[in-house]
Amino acid sequence: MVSKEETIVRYLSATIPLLIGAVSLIYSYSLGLGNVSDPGPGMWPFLASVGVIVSSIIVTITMSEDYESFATKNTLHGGLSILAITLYILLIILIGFFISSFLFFILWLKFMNGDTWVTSLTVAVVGTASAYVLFVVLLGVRVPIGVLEYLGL
Amino acid sequence: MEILSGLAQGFDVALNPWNVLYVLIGVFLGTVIGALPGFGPAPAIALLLPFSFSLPPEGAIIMLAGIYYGAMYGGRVPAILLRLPGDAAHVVTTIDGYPLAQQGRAGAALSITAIGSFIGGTVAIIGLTLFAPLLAGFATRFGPHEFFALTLAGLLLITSLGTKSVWRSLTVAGIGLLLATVGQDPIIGVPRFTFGVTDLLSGLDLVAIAIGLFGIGEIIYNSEQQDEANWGTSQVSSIWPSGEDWARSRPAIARGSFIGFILGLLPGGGGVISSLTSYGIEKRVAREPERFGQGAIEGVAGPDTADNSSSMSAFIPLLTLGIPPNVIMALIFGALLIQGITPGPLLIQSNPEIFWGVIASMYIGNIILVLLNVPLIGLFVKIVQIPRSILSAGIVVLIMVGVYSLNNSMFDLWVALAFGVIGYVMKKTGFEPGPLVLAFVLGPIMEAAFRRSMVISNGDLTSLLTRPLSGTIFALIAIFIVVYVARVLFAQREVQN
Repeated sequence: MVSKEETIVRYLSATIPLLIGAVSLIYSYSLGLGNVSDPGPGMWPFLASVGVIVSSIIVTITMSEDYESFATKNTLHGGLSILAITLYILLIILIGFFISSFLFFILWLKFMNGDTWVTSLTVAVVGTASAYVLFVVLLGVRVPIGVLEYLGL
Repeated sequence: MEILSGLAQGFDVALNPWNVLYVLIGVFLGTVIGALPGFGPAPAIALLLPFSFSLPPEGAIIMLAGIYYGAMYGGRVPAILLRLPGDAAHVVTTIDGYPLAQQGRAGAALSITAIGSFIGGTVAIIGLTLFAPLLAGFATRFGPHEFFALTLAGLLLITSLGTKSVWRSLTVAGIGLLLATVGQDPIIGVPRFTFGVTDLLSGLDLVAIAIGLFGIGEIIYNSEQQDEANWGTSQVSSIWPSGEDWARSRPAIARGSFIGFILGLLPGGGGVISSLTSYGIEKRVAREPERFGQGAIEGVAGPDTADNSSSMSAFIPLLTLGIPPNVIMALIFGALLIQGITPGPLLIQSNPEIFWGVIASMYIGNIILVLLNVPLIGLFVKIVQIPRSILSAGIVVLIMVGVYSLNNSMFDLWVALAFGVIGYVMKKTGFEPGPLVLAFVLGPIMEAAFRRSMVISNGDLTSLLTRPLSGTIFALIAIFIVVYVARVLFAQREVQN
């Protein structure tokens, strides 16, 4: 028995590529197809869009069972991971790489995975310090260090 | 003689102390990341790609190649100990590897696969040394028509071999081709699919896409699997296989070396097909096939050997034709382009230090791998048992530094995250990310070849079929499609009956 959620996700997973193909097709056409002896900028993406449309229509017709449910408790974990990484990027932009990495370790280990405070703090300190030594000191990678700039690091 | 002098030049490059160090770092990191459950060679390469760009081109490629075959070695560790294959190629390893671990013979399985991988790898490198220059010489006759035919054939084969659903893979590959057009048109410079965003004018970054799909996508997906994780605590006692193990494994290793070499050459042939084929053959030729699935040592020795052999021979189409036969080669192809080197028939003449240096470094890397893998089995077992939460947090931090350092751009972080979410959703809905990355890399070559071929032949589409070489390739594509469709129809009829 196919659940309602499964049906929705199956159709979405086939219609989203179809939609991408259709929008790209129209957009490529507007770029100018040129002619076969002198293809314009839109010709190649137009051909690729046709390919996407044809294959996604066939995907829609030949729906397979190969699909994992989104409506489970575990999906929440996946969603939280996405949020945590989004927050981490925002923090990197705002306060630089190292303090945000420390905070990210704590968020990920303590609050999302239920590790102990001791483990989380130890990994956060060791992880952040190793990242600093490895990337900034040894590899010379330039990363935004944010407020640490004021400390002369 | 040319081969010998080329190889001597290659060893000159590969034995440079810095390059030996890069091989060592590459194979060690590759093995470590490959040994992490859920992480195969594609995430290993994608994660470490940004850090290779600061190295000289030959050092970078030598290190990346080391990461690749190192990760192939490493992948067998979680497959045998935890029944958690890091990549599709090692799924077969779990069938007999895990029962062997349960019988307390994980050490024997790990060491025999390390030695088998070494032998398979060495056979493939010798093949690579002998055949690559010949193929490169032949491929100098190729023009844009042939390159278009070859890339199209490669894309079709890759999306149909070793993937779960051909049409889904083709859809994903088509989207990969579209993504490759983001940025400026290569001929007249018109912006395409940029929607007024200046960061998109130079196109999407391959590394940000690959890290997103394989790295972040995998982490998000793995974060859901916590309850189901099976963190075994397999003890590895003796690492030495018995005399009987040797006797059973020797022919499997010999066959696996050959099978892997041949299948690695084919687009899409890589690890999965070669390990599956080797397993199938071992089971068929076995005197007691019922032992398979219960811990037959040849069931791990053959496939792992084939797997490693194919990973080495896959360099032949990349280095000689400029066509990456699998997604990992596509990433290495991207790395070469970023270093200003175009892989293809002319590479052997224009950059012999790279062509021969990479080949020579493989001889060295393969020896380092077997030396590392037999005595350090205990260390890799410990790595496998590091808690998943700590590993994934560390990898996210590594990803962020890596992606940012590509272009010192925050935009790339968002691109990586977006593709991470896409990769996660794709994995849940049965779409594989490999064809997308491959099409993204092949897209610009295909487009340039198509447009040039049409200009040369004055818009005559039939010229693709009438030129002898491209016509032959198209004929082979047609035969492949007919055989493929016939097989699918035959299989459907069998199911109905």
